[in-house]
Amino acid sequence: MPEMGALLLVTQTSTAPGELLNLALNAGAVAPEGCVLIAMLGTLLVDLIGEQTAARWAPPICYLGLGSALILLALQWDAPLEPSFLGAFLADKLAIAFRAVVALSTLLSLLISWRYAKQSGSPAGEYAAILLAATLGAMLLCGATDLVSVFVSLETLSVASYLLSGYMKTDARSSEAALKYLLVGSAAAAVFLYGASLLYGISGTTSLASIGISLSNSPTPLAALALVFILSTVAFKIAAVPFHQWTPDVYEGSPTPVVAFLSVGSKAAGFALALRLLVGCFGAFDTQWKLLFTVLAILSMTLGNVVALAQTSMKRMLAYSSIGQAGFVMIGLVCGTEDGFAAMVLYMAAYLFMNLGAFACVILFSIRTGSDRISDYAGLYQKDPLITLGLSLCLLSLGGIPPMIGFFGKIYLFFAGWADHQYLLVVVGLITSVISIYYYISVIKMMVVKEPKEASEVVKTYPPIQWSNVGMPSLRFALLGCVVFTAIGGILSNPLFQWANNTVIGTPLLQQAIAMSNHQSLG
Amino acid sequence: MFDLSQGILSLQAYLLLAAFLFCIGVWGLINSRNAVRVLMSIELMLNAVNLNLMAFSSYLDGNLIRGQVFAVFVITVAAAEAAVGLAILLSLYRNRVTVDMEQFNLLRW
Amino acid sequence: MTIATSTELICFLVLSTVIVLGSLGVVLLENIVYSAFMLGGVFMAVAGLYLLLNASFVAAAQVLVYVGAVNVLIIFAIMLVNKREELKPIKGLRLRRIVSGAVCIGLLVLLVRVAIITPWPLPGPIAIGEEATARIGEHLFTDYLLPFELASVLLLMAMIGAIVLARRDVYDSELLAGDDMKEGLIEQTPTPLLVDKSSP
Repeated sequence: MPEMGALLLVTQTSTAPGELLNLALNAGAVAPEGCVLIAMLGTLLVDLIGEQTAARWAPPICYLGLGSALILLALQWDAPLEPSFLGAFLADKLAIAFRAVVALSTLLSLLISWRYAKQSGSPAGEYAAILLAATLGAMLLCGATDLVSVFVSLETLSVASYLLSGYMKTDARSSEAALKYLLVGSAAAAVFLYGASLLYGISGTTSLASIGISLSNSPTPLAALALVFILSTVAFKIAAVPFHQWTPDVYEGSPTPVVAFLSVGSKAAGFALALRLLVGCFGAFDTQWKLLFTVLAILSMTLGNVVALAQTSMKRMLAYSSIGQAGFVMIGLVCGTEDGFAAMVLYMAAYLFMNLGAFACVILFSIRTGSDRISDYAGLYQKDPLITLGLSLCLLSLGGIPPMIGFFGKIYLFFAGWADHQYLLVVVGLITSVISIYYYISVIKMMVVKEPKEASEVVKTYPPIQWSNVGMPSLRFALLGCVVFTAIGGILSNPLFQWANNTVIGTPLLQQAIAMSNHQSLG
Repeated sequence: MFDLSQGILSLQAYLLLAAFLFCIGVWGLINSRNAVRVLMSIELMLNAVNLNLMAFSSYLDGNLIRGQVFAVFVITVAAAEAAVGLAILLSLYRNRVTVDMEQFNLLRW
Repeated sequence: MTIATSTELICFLVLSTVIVLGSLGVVLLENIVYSAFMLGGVFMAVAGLYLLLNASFVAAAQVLVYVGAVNVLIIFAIMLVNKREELKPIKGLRLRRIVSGAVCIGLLVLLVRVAIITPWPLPGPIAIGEEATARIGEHLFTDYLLPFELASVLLLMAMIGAIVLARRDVYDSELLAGDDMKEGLIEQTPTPLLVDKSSP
């Protein structure tokens, strides 16, 4: 339909950018990002004064910036919805929820990273600044509604992640992980850009909403090709099988606090991107991308959880488990119902606390012993009850054992899938959940059940527990916060359900998609 | 200047060239054993994307030329990425003294 | 055929020949230094195509950034990590190349076919030609203001991160007595946190 496309082009090209100068920017929507940016610049400035000053002042500046960003996000919740930056950004409730998850994950990752940075001898000031830049990119990615904004924020997040994963430069494994991540990530970005350029060619615009309209008017083979290109990049970002090969390597080689951020913050931004692009832009290809995502979800759940069984390194096991967890979240994406989207938001929030809690315990163990092997955890409960308890609770929650918060998140996802007749997905999800419980429990069994004489060498020579060193109090705070929330969050899950549902109800983008799928199923 | 809508050169000519450049980039990405060459292949792919964007911008969006702005952003980001890539490569070379991709196997690939 | 169109056609053919041969050279030549110079040639030819498309600003940016910065960076990278190393032969390399070549040709055929059968909404609006530079400026400060500002953060962060990673640290353990070294540059000898016990 060339006539149709030409007509659309004429209506869209009626305003020249010069005339837009008089319109309101509505820049208040990115005030939380502004706080993060100011904190980043402040960290860099105090880092110029000297190493000691940076170590003293960088943490409070970061907490202040991220804390005020979270407060501003909470204040935005009820604000009237208006597109800002002339259509480049939209602070709808979905964006606010995912930005809060990202900011909170950065805050918790920073809390657990000071001691690690100190002990590995890396400069902490620049580390915090780069992590804040990654947060800035991830937060803007959650609300970006324009292909150019999506690309630049995606690259800010990615380039910062490459730098962070190579941050321990005396460790060859860290550099190697960074190089692999950089090469694979840049290739994925190039593929995304090729898809984006095709979308621009089809619609003559870079705004996601206009592209969505023009795709629904003329679903050509070219649009399907662009869908495949863009979908593979989204799948790379959320580490879905078979685009996951980078994950275990990067997770094993990178500094552990960085992995904590990548597994939660980066992944949350990836899911927000998936919602914006697939639901908002490719509504016309609903059945196609849902089919593709069903396959990706089944592969991720199966492979992630099965391969995790065979791992001997704790970080690598958590990497594969995070691939499996992403598969569970994809069930909500495939449903496309109100419950499905709400379950996604809820599970991301729950995953934030349980995964970061687990990482806090793993980091604490590696700080004290320098080991990462699962077999070295044997008999730990006698030497360090706190790590044992915290890790046990978080892993049980990741496996979906009641009454932890992970159970409620997972049951909501499965419920949404069952209600939408995604029986295959739900059955695969249930079976792989059982598998995942097996390897989570085996770690717990290793820590708790072993007799003292069976304890590993590392545990036998366990150092006395000290909390007075630099960075340890904040690590303890983050660990306790995550574990307590994971444990009692399930009991208090009603407000969380409310919050997740309000997120979906207050997001026009998702409401349109739900209305459309309801219409299809009726007609 | 030439009137593009009347010209013999069509939009497709540019798209074909870009597609070729992109595929060469993909092939180089898969088969290069030198890490620097992998970086070069990625630059080829990005140039293919830019060519696509510029052609669309000129033929289909000649008034607003959003594609040109997009291309400027791609160029900016590519420069940042190349600088970071070089820094990581140097840092790795200090530890390993090789650029052969097949030797980077401390982590299972 | 007027002189203008035939000149355009000739320019396009010459530039595309340079791009095709140059890109093949980048991936196929044995010597990586030749590849890097081929890459510079490809960048210049692409800039020429931009001029053909009436985009003088982007062409200038392409020459300045790609040829002036990225290509020079790559040549620096080659010089800094320049060690003649005999690559160990791997089994099945030829097969891998052929299979991936077939995959890439398949991709090319797909892309080309789709580009040809798609009904592009031609002709588009009238091109603004030489005012493009001013229009890009207007875009950067109106509807692309957010990515423009974010790009500055990205560049700042990339600069700092690249310096941190590429800087060669001077450790106190390596320092000879009597060297006058600024105190601030000396870093503590780091201890690796996760000792890899599986490999010697």
